[in-house]
Amino acid sequence: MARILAVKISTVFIQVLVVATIVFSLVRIMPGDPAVLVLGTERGADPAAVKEMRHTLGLDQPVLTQYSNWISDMARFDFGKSLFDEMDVKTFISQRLPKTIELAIVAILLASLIGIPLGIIAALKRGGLVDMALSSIAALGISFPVYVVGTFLILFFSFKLFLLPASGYVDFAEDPINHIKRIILPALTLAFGLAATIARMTRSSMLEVLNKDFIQTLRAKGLSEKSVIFKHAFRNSIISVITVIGLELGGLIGGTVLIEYLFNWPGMSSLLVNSIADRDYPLIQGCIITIATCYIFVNLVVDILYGIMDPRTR
Amino acid sequence: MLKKFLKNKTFIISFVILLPMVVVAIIGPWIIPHDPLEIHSDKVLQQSLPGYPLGTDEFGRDILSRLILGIRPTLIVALGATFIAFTCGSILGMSAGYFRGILEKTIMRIVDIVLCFPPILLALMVVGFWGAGINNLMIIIGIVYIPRFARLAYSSTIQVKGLEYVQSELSLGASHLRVVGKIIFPNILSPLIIQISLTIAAAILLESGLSFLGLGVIPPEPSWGQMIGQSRGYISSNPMYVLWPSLFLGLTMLAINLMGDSLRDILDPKLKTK
Amino acid sequence: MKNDVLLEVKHLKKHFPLKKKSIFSKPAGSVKAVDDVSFSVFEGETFGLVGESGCGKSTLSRLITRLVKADSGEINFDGQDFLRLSGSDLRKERKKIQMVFQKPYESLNPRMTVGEIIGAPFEIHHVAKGAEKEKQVKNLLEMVGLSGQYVNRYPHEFSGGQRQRIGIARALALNPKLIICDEAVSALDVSIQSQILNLLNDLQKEFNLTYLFISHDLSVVKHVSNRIAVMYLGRIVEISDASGLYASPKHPYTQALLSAIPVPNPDHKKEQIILEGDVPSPVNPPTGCRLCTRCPYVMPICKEIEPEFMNVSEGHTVACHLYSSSNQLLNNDTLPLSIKTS
Repeated sequence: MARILAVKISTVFIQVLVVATIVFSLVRIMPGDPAVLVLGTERGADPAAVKEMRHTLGLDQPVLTQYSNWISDMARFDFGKSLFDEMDVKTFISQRLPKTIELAIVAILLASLIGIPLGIIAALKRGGLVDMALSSIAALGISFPVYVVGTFLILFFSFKLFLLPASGYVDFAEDPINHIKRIILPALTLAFGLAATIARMTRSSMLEVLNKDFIQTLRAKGLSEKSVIFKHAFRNSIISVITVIGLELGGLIGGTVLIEYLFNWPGMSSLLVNSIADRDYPLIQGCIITIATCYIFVNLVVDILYGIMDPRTR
Repeated sequence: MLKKFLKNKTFIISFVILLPMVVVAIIGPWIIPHDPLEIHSDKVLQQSLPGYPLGTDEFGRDILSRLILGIRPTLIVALGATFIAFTCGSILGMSAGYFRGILEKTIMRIVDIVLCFPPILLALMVVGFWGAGINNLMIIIGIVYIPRFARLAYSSTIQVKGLEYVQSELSLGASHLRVVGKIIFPNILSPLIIQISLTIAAAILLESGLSFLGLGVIPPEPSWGQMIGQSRGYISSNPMYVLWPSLFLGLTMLAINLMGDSLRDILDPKLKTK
Repeated sequence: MKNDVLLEVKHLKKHFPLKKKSIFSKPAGSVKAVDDVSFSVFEGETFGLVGESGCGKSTLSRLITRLVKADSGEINFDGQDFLRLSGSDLRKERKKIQMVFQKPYESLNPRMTVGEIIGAPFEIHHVAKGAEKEKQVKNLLEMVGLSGQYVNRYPHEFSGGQRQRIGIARALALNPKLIICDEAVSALDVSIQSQILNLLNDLQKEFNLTYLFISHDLSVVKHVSNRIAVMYLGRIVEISDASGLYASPKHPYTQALLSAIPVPNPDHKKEQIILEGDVPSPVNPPTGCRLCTRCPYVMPICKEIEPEFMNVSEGHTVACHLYSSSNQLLNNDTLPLSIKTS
């Protein structure tokens, strides 16, 4: 077990290193001089300004020195300063990251709360109304992009029912009620696709488990149907639900990029999108490394969790 | 084979939806009622006007015309990217599976690392440094989806290479090019074709997502994703502005996904899910 | 039968290394699929090779056709050092060795017509094309007892036996000297088996072919072979002409194999020799004689020293300590445990 863990953790470091190297080389092999691009056409024509910008970006040193600096900065999570408001990239990230994590966690919780019960019902009443609705909603969920779903939700809840605000963010400490109100729509949108997948997975794994011999034995023993379903069948199918969440994590992170933008949620992903639009290279680098690292680490955690839950993979 | 296609209802439905879409994309410039880039400051954000059946956007531009021309970049990017991914991915995957050894290890290790990142993150990474635009999008999205094809081609090649008809060709002394191109490739084509339809769908999703963020097709050139992205600020004044591109995008995606399902049923009955 | 050696295999060896689980683990062993195998095949004969599945027969056939690279050893074919050939020389010599494969449902490319399949050898070696190729293909089809009109059909339209005929036609296309039949009839029904065996027999007479006939089925091998080699765990343990082998098998393994052939006579009681235990893993074969873990006559020496091949009679060699010079059984022509053949 310890050895598998060691191997997994070392793979994580290699992956982070690969991402860092890719980001590094992307800046170096991009078409055009980044310094000129940052300055824009007007100031980019001024050689002195370009030289200074090249220095700020660290592009005036030999490539290998740049690389070793880059990696050692990376190890200290130091991405330099934003080119526009002179703020540490680190500060930016520490402000924004928790908001994305909050959004993702709420979305996963919502998705499980919706998806698991739906899946169980669909499995117990196969071919019933819930079952049919589930499979058609799942097909729609795959086809409609998250931001389209989000737009529909905004149209319905904000402009038809006037129940929830369409977008924005309020700090929890300032106004808890409004904070919660504003997280519901983005989290619900993010949860939509995941809930459908979780429901489908719960349904099929429940069906599989329910057909197994040991469940028949439990029934034969005279155990109540409730305890058969919840104590035994469900416990066995929870592993697959966790797997789904692990597998869908990539989609979830991709989803936050679009949803934070749609709902003006000031998280990590919208920071990345804005910094790309602004050509704020230090900030772009910081965002990409942070998101990728988080993603890799969460994957590791899911992997380990999976190993703990399912003794066969140990 | 043709009969199988015609008998499959899902295929027919998706075909009926997609065919006009493609036709409109091709003949688009000749059938649009208005110049999609022309600004009318007197007709801003109308739900519908005589001559403007689907209304106007925040610059008074005709939404119908923009919708029609908006298919083009999406289709070009999706098809181009899929072509790049399919060609490069199949070649890489087949060589890895056929020659094995160090080539296999290098290719598949890289593929595994790329595969573990969400596509939109990879695409943003490249767009962030290289900029947007149709050509860049095509290349970037193509590269992002290479691993899918490489993976598939690799595992199918390994499977087929062990079969006796490939062994017999090898024992005849056939060249590697002949064995890979003429024997292995036709036999692993079915799963690759299914993957093509899935990748077209994914590429459309990715392109429209990037355009939605303002990092894809460069305005004022229209694209569906970008229209949705721009319209979100005007939901209260003209809800139809956001609804039309959303509906069309969703419908297209639905049709392509259905087509993928039907292709799977037709080409690979073994994969059929209950 | 002429006595020219067509194929000579000397000390051929192939070990497949096992994959290491991770870079940190100890080096894994290797599967000793073919381990120091030597034999010769004479021109015009049918040389049978029998052994249980997993004993290395198929690897041996793939080594001879150069589908798998040998670790060491020598293959002399038609006067040439076959393992040293490469490039165009190899292509030229390869024409002379062809294979008939085991699985009729997998040995023909499902995406090609029969014409393309049989025509492939012509194309690869630029022997014929166009109308000439088509004529030859039709000719070949008729030669193996199929109609020449089948050229445009696909493999799935044929039965197992017909497919095997197509496979044979493909093997014949380039006028080979040696045809390796790797379990060529094992997947077929018994009635079809004999048809195919008869076809092979006729073709041999017509074209003076040499067959290396590989099978796990002793009765089939007996039916077709002039000489037979018995293989166990990557080694050959006994080589003899067919009649000698069946009349008086020497190696305990051969004896056990032969005693397992069912005899179609319910009154016939025969002594069955049953080997104890399972075949050891080819990763860690026993030291000394490979059979020593299961042999009913095992002696201390068997676990220490590998038995050498020795002549027990004209054209009959065996690798077993029971027959070595230090052992009294050498001059004893009767077997330690005789098998009564009816």
